[in-house]
Amino acid sequence: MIKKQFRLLADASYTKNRLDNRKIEKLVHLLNRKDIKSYIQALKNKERNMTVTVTLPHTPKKSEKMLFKSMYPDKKIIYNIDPSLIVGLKVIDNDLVYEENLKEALETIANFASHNL
Amino acid sequence: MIDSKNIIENLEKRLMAFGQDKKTQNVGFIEKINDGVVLASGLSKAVMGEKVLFSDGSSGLILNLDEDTVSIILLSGGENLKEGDVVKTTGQLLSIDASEELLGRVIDPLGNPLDGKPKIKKAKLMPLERIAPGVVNREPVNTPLKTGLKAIDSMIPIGRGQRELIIGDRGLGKTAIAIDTIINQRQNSNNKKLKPVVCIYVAIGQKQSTIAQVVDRLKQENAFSYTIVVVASSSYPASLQYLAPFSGVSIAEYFMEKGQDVLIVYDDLTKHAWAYRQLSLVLRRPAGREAYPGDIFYLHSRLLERAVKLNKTHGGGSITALPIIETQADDISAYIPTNVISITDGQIYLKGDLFYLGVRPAIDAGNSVSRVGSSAQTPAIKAFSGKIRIELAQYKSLEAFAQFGSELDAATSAQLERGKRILEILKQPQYQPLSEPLEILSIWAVTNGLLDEIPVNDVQRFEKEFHEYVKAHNQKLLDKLALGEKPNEDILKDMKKSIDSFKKMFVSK
Repeated sequence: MIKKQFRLLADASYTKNRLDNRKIEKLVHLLNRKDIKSYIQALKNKERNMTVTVTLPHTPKKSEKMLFKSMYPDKKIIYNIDPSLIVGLKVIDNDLVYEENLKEALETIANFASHNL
Repeated sequence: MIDSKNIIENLEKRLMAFGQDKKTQNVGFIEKINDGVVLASGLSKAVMGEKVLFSDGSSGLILNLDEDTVSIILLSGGENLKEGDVVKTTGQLLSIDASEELLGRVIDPLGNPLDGKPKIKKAKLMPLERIAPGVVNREPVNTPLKTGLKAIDSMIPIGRGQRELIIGDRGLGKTAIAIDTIINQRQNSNNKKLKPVVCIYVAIGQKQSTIAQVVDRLKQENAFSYTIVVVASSSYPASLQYLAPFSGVSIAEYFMEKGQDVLIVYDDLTKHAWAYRQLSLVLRRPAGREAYPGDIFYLHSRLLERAVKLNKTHGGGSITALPIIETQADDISAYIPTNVISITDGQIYLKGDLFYLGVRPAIDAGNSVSRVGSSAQTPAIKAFSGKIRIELAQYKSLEAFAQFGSELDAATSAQLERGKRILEILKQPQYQPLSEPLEILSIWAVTNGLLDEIPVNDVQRFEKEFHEYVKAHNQKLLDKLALGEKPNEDILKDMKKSIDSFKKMFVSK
């Protein structure tokens, strides 16, 4: 089987954006050991694709949660707290990382200064 | 006076401005590391040719984009990388810092100094890959770039903005021609009337000791102050050897954009092709003839197309390229030599037979050509150089015929004798480029039969002493010839007078 077929299998393993255990059980019986490994990888990729991780310096407020829900309506949102993230936030959407914080901004200024001044 | 509150407010404003751009990163994970090539998953927004950063601080360049993975070549470090490590895009195409501070420096293809001096500051970032200027921005080659070598300046002239290939087997003096040309640009940098030429020497896949010798020689000849050396020696990874000529030409473009003339030497493109073949095979690109990838022609054509003469409205700067190709057993019909011959505006072909006969530079005039350089020759040298090529060709054909041993008539014998003297005059020691007036005097003298009475073995000594004599006794004549105008009757008489008076002295000695 090729990668594309495993991706299709992973897509078919979901029902209403949730992994369907019944479907998975049916599928796994038809695969050999090597194929199961690739299937798990495809499922992991799919899960990563459907999950957004939001890291904030404080416990998220209701309004903030609403905002993220509206931004990613079809994705599962996981909230993390990292107090070192001063005046900022970090959003991981699959392979895209949006990050903004005071430390990064100061580093950018330092880089700019060392290169141009 | 600004108080502390204002300073802090100002800083805060700047901080806000910094926050408005970027900070979106595309991340991926290393799947496989193989011979300096990293295969990474993720990086869905990566761009071809984009610089990426690994978690250990080392950097790489994206060279392949596949459906689920990207292939990255390592540019620095990478010894501590392992499967699963994070790799981030930077949003920047690979660039090099370029500024006037680079003059007289030795750097690697990423701009890191190799001469122990500090890294350059206040530089302009120049992208390594760039589309060559279009037809509208260009003008025809019309200004000479003097090499100081009689054989080249008379028969295979090079113009500013031209691409002239130097081709030949190993050890025949290809680098020597390039170094002599760089040394000859010293007269431009010393003379305020002449437009100076910035020189860039790109060493690809060479021994460190050879590069050190070149640098040392340039320093000895006072040619280092206007020269930049970009080094990717044979011990460097193939990725850096592949990037070296692009780094060189990016620096050249920096100076060209300022209206300056630049001479760039790629020593050599054979090893550059080898490095690219190595990378392509590791990247699993389909191999073609001699296992080179299909885009090997495009690799060299896009590099050499960046050698250009810009028109006045675009600053009037130029980049003259002297690529070097090493052949195997005089085979100029191999894959890479034919490719580069077809891209360039001519070639200087060095032949082993001539070299071992003592003809140095061992230029084979029959197979060498300059397609655009003649329009850049000054009228002064043009007036005398037309004859030399024909006479040399006639001599070559007669020489082959004379080997049968039959008796020759007086005219043929005279022509053969003349040919021998022409060949002697075209010999020139290394690191001794000549100024144009001296070249004119030598060529004019030999083609007009004024050296026919001088024994062949004494021709070189005669020439050297004659140059000294003219410099000491008739500087005015040299000044007139230096103007580059076609010599009038008075100048010709003056030239004749000088050589006759010196000949009397020389013969009496």
